[in-house]
Amino acid sequence: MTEEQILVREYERNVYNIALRMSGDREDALDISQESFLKAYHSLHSFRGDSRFSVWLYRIVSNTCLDFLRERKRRAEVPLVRGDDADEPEQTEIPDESLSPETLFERNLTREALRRGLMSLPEDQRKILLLREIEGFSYEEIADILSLESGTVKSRIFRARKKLCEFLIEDGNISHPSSSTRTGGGDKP
Amino acid sequence: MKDCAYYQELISRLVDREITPEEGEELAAHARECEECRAVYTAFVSLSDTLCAGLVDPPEELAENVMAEIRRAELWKQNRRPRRQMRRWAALAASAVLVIGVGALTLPRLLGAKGAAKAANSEAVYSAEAPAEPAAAAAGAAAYDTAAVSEEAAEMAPIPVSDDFAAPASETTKSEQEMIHEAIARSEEPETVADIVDVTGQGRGRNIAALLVGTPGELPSGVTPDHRFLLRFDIDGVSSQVLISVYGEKVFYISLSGEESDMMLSDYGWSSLRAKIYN
Repeated sequence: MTEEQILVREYERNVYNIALRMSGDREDALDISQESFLKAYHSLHSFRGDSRFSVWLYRIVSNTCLDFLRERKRRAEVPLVRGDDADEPEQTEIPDESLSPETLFERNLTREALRRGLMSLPEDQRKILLLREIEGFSYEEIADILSLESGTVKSRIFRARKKLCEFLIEDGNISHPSSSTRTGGGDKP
Repeated sequence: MKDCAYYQELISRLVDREITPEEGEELAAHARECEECRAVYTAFVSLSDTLCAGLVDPPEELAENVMAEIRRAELWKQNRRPRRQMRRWAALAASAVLVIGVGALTLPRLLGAKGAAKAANSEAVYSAEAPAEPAAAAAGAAAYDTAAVSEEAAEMAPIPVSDDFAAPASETTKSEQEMIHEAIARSEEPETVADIVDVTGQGRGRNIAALLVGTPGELPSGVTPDHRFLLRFDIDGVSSQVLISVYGEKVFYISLSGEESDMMLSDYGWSSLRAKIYN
């Protein structure tokens, strides 16, 4: 196996999943992933090793995602959020064992609901949340990837989580006492 | 007094393990008294678990396609002429400039009725050094119709075209496709390639793709091409190539980069092609 194959194999799952959740479409995710890897291959000479390889790679992935989404939006070929799920038979429920007993997430939180929730987020919030949750980058690394201040990273991740929770509550995927629906609400003693 | 929004951002950072011990103590003290923030904590943790749990395996073709493109690029790199030699070509062949327009330049345009000179007058952009073939002292010209790329292209190094551009290819009983696919599989240059034209550019993928558009037709069976050469591009960092074969008055070109359009074919007179290129 060549070095390139090893790198592709090591990162393809996470790159693909970030692309999938950024785009909400499997075909688009495949295109974004392929393009990202090829861009990385062709610009490997510019990787100077002053950051982790994965940070460098995900900077490319991030930019490729944004370029792709902008282009898609411009062409308006594919709606950003698809309404019908009929052609997605593989949308299965997320395994229950991933949820703790006291979870607020009901069994009806499907992958599709999560997809819709993610697609409801602004692109910058969606991207930053996925970099944190899927790849597990630190705030500092995310700041490096996205060229942001770390304070912006903190607040943007928080806003993304909050907004996603609110979407899932409104969408009926989270049932919870009404108090939790007001995340970020007023002060309490 | 700090409000719940402040503590809930701390909760988000706690989930990410980006919180200081002092902030953790402060948050814990607040959460003991605040049901809403406890609920938010549970929601954020559950959301985080759920996001991590739903990962899917990428399709096999992802790695396959990437590696196939990398192999193509490596093959292209191996066959590039050294820069020094390219510069020498630039000096020697200064009077024989083949201007290859890869913007609106489709092969039909190159060969077609529209005068090359007229096209060149619009936005001549991309130049390649032409072979010093006896009959080719002057250059034919075609041009981009994309003025936006002209400055960028003007800064590019001239590109050589070897002097056996029109040399007859060796005989082969295999189809072009078989030959080229086998060669790529072996990571070798096809034996019958008579010439290589490097056309390196950036950001012109769509324009270059236009070159590959042709009218499907039929390859002559059992006929050895008179001439054959491989036209290579570097589009947005991705290498592509087209095998061009000339059978008498017919020119065939085969895209090697498009999976769904492996064969593109068109009829144009070779003599007019020569005339346009070498004038």
